[in-house]
Amino acid sequence: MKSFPLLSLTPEILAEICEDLSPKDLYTLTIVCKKLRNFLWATSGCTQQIWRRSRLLMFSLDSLLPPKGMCEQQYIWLKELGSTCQVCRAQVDKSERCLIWEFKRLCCRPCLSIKTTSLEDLRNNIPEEVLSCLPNVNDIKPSNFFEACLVTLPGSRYQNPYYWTTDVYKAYREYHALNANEREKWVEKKKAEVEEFNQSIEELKSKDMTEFLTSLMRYTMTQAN
Amino acid sequence: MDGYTSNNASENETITLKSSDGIEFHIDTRIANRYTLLNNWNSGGTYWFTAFKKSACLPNVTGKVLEKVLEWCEHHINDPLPNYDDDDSRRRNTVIDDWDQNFLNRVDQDMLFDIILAANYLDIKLLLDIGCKTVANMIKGKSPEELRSSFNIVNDFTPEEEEAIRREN
Repeated sequence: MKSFPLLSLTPEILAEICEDLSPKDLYTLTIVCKKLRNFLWATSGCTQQIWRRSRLLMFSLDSLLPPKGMCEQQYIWLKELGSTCQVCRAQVDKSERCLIWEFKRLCCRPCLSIKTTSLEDLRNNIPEEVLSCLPNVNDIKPSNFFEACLVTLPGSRYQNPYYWTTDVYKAYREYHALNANEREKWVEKKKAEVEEFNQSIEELKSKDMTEFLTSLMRYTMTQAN
Repeated sequence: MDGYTSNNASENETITLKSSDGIEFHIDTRIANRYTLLNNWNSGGTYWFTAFKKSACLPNVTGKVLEKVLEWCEHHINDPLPNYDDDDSRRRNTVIDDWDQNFLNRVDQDMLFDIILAANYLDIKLLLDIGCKTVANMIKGKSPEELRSSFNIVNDFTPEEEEAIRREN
């Protein structure tokens, strides 16, 4: 046998082969060898297109683009594929799966409470200005959007939001290293990023909600019949 | 020469293709007419066309591979021409029929990849599609280790890189 005939194919042909593969198969390919990883882990348009097609093929309802600043690979992993906690590596089943779009993280419940800190507790160490421009969530207890919708009253901004602790300290170090003039710009830039990201995850969540309600209604109707 | 020769065509209905290793194949012009690139050669549209009319050299395809490709073309010569609007629907609608399945299952992996490369080079889209689908089917549902062994790929990640990948995923 010739050495690595699969790897001797041109990127165009590889891309065509990938068109028939599920996101899970694509993930597996990325850990086979360096060449395949470089090809499939790229954020280039061509590679993003491969993942998007694969996602649409498998989950045709999910026609949204990933939130701003998130690549297809990360999006599909968070949304569908991920089955281990990103902190402790333990397997998480569907009910234990805490997917926090705001933090771009997937973890188990115990890790979520260990890895996050409330505003109250952070206030003493971190300037309010830094905290004001970082992603936060209302409550870390609810695990799914439905519970989240129940506890988040419309219009209410969170009283005591939670932050991903290491992200806060990392941002603070960045902020601390800047001089006074740069800080203002830095905060504004961060704020804009978070706002833009939040807008796209709002879309995501409302789509999830619609899907949930649709399936609930369908279920109710079949029960009624 | 053990090359493929079209049976029913008379002398003036054939063109000659010469593989990279010098094997000549006399093929039915209907085959050439079906495929754009061969068609270009046939009408003298490209530089591959030699001074001898109706003969072309294929520097990228060996006789062994060309024989298989032409065997496939010959089998499909009477198929209705596919008429898809765009590339996407063409690909989605590609089904591998029993004959094609059997045809591709009989060849070894090297030959399968050579056929794909040749189909790409000769612009024979349907053959390229079913070739790619066949490879995709060989990939589906396998673990990284299984993929390495079935495609003869060496795991070239260092343990540190593997750890980094686990963290990243």
